[in-house]
Amino acid sequence: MNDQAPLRVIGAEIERSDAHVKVTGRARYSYDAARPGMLHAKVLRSTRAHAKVLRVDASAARAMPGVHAVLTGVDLADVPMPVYGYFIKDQPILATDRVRYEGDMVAAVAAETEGQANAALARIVVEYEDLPALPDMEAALAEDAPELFEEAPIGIVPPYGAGSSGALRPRRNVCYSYAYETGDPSVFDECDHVFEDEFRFSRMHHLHLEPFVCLAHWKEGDEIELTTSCQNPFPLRKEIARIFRVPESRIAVHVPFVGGGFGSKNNCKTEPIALMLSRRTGRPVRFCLTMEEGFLTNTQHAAILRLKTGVMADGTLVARQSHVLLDSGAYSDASPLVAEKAGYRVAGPYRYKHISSVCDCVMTNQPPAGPFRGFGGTQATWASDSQIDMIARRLGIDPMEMRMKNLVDLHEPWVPGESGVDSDMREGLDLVAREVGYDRPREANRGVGLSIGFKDGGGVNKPAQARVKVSTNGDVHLMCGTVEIGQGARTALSQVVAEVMDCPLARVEYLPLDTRYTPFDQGTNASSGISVMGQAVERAARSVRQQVLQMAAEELGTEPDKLRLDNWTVIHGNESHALAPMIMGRYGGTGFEFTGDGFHKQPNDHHAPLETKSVFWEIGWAGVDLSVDPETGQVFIHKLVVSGDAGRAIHKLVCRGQDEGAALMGLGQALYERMIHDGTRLVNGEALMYRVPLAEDLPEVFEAITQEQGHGPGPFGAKGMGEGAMLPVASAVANAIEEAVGVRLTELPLTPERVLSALVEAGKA
Amino acid sequence: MYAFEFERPGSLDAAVKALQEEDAQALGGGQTLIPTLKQRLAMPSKLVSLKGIAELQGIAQEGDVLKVGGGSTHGAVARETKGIFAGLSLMASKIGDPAVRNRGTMGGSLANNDPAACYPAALMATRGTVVTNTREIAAEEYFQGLFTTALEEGEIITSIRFPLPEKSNYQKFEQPASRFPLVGVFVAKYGDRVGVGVTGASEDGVFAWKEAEEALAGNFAPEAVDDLWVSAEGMMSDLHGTAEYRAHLVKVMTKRAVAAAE
Repeated sequence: MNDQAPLRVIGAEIERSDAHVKVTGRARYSYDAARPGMLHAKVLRSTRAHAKVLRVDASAARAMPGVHAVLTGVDLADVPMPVYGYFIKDQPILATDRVRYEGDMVAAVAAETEGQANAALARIVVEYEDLPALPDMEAALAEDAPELFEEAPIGIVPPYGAGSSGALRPRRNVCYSYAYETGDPSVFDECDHVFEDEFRFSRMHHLHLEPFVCLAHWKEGDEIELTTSCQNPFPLRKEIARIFRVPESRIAVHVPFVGGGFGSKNNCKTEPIALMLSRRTGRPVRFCLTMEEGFLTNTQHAAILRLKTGVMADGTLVARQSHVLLDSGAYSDASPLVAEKAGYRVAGPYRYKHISSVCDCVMTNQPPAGPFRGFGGTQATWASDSQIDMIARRLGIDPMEMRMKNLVDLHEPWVPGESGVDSDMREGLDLVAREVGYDRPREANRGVGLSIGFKDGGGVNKPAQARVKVSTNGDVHLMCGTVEIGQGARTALSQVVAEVMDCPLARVEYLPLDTRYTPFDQGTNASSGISVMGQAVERAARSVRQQVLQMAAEELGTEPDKLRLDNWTVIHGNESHALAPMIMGRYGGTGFEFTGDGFHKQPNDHHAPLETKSVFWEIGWAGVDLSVDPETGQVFIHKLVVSGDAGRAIHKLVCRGQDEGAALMGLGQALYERMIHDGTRLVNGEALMYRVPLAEDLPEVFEAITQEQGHGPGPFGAKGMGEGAMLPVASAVANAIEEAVGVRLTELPLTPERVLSALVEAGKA
Repeated sequence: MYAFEFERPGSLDAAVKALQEEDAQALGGGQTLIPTLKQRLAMPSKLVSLKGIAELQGIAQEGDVLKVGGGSTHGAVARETKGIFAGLSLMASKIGDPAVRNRGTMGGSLANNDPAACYPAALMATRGTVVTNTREIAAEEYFQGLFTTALEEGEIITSIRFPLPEKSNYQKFEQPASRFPLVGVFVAKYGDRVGVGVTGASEDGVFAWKEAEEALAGNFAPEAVDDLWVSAEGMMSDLHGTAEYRAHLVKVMTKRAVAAAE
């Protein structure tokens, strides 16, 4: 590839490499995995929110037809480290002495059919002694609340850089607290106004259509084979190795296509139980959760966010203090990481002289909360960018103008020690404002709202390795650990290789992911597929290309920089030489395979608050034009415009799809979705009762505009995608509602009944 | 699915006979019953499909009455009552989704009497009649609370008779998840009276909002109900809406139905 040459594969209108197999139903997912002799696992779930487990009698279940094994808490005695979690190892594979939420796993059965497994579960008798239950954060933080974990589970605090700190168990029922501070708090004294507001954020479920599912086989000689619907196979492998004390080299994790995850499919979910049952029976064990069980397995974090923001009369932002509480549920899961991000991101895309932020993970007797698209940024943006709008309106300043005044500039470090912001955020805001008709005169009860979501992207301390091989005949093999979860990573990363190798996309094969042979990767999350893995892939491809050109130059008696590649021929001036015969001539008739490795990781940097500078900045802009029905409180979206900056769009349609999907998830967050509890019992944990946006909920006009500002660190100037457009939708809707009818809602979702109540309270209905 | 016997009789008499067996259950379009079986909330040992019975089919105007066969699907009702009974056609066209409308039947819906079903509002507002294999039952006697009707064991709805109004309309405020009505109001205007049937709202199931019927009989205009007030007492309250909100919506939806009546 010549660096001056126009790009041929990047940005081209080409079909996704997995389009055909997916639309024809031939794509294989973990859900489809099957083996001869396979058993099916099912689990018994706690009916109590918080209780001691006094006795589990599984004798009748063991005698049921088709049953091969039954596990209860006592069987964990065989497991070296039977607990898991990210920073804090507090979740047991099965409950032992205690259950901590309604849905906690108490016993497991492997049987020849799922029906037999379920029938056996019904025969297991569990005797509980109820303990006081803490259904929400207020209850958990009350003075007289019992400590849910009497003894501290094993946990770590990662190294942080300037201004950041973390603490395990800083107070009762808080498993982790993250804090960030920069600048001098005394600047609050200079402010003309200080506004304090509280926001509430409801908990969504990921509602990934492929359920949590794995097929586990613990073979003779302690060799483990696992096919699983998982976003981070390598950390999963590490966790399995630690739990069962098995060398990582004896664990093969296979990840075929994943049917959606949105963050939920990280770390242990179904795998440890399936492995225990397989070890016990010697048979492959499939463990597939129902959608209803999915609701009980991992969720978004409900949050309470309190912001105190100091501002000058002209709208210049000066200082922001915040305290965020995240409802982490019964086990810590990824809560400390989410806290880091919610705490860090809550200042939003604006310039402040002082930021002080604390985010606490509060343990309750609810299903565990974990990673969710936006990763704390959704909660942070809801509060942050609602409050900016509220302040502008209180000061009589146009909210767009107030944003324009305070946005961090292109290339300006977001906070001291951070990388420069790699999008012109004013340009993006201008674009969505224009597209949504911000300046258009409004009819009664109609309003337009804007919002900007902002997050650091690419993960913290996140390494990625990749390998590209080219066979003698020019077939290209790409090996990397990014999971194809619908985002189009296989296509986009293959395009990077095709561009570098100057070959058609069809020549690049994205090899199946197998942790034994695929190079190491931290996981498919944090919008890192292109921004981090893309860099590793590009390096691997460039290494192979260089080796090929070096070989050709030696054969042709010239220098590599006098040569270029064109679909496995080498071009030297006016001559063209086929590479296959050249390679066989040099290496002998069986030929040779060129292999290149690539690695990328943002360097450690103690001046950066999170210990590495952000790889890139993921920004989502949204504009919403809506009407409010003042008699019912119903909100009708006339137009939703979102935009992300891909830096350089590797595949334009895939980028647009990512932003459209993210925006609709944001619209669900804004208007419909929430897990509703009656005390500790989830009452809408099923598809019929849990409302997600459907095709008919699409706004009258819906646009997702992919910007290509060209400042990204990834291949060819690309940035990460996929979360940004989710962030600003809820705040944009709330901002538009205030403009339409003059009431401000600070609690999600913005249901008709809540809008109507606000109107009634304000004397407007 | 568990094992059960399945019978598909070709005549009403055969169906009546089949349903005399203990624990036999009539199956209309199966849009409620099949999910109920799947969840094992009911486990009848025998299902008697009403699909193949000619007597339950057909939608026809008979003078100033519309007769709808009990086995008519929502899709058929929506299509075939267009231009004859605007409100009913509109109502049927918005039940569920196309798959539901092509399977679900009016007889099945009325026999089930879900408190959030649509058709009960139309039957109540029109003061229509349920015709069974043995008798005719007036709307006000037919509905007896949530999932409860005047039907006897083994009794089959053969047709439903709606007195045709001059004007009618149905307004549904959707429950956010299932799209069943959170509150649905059917308004039917006749020469000498107005019917207002309300579904989804009350703890006792469908009801006629009689104060509104009186007020609208004197003045068929949205303002006629302005001074009326619906009490939240006895209204359903659940995760989708409070009793107060439902009560509020009854009035709003009534006004909108009156305004849109055609």
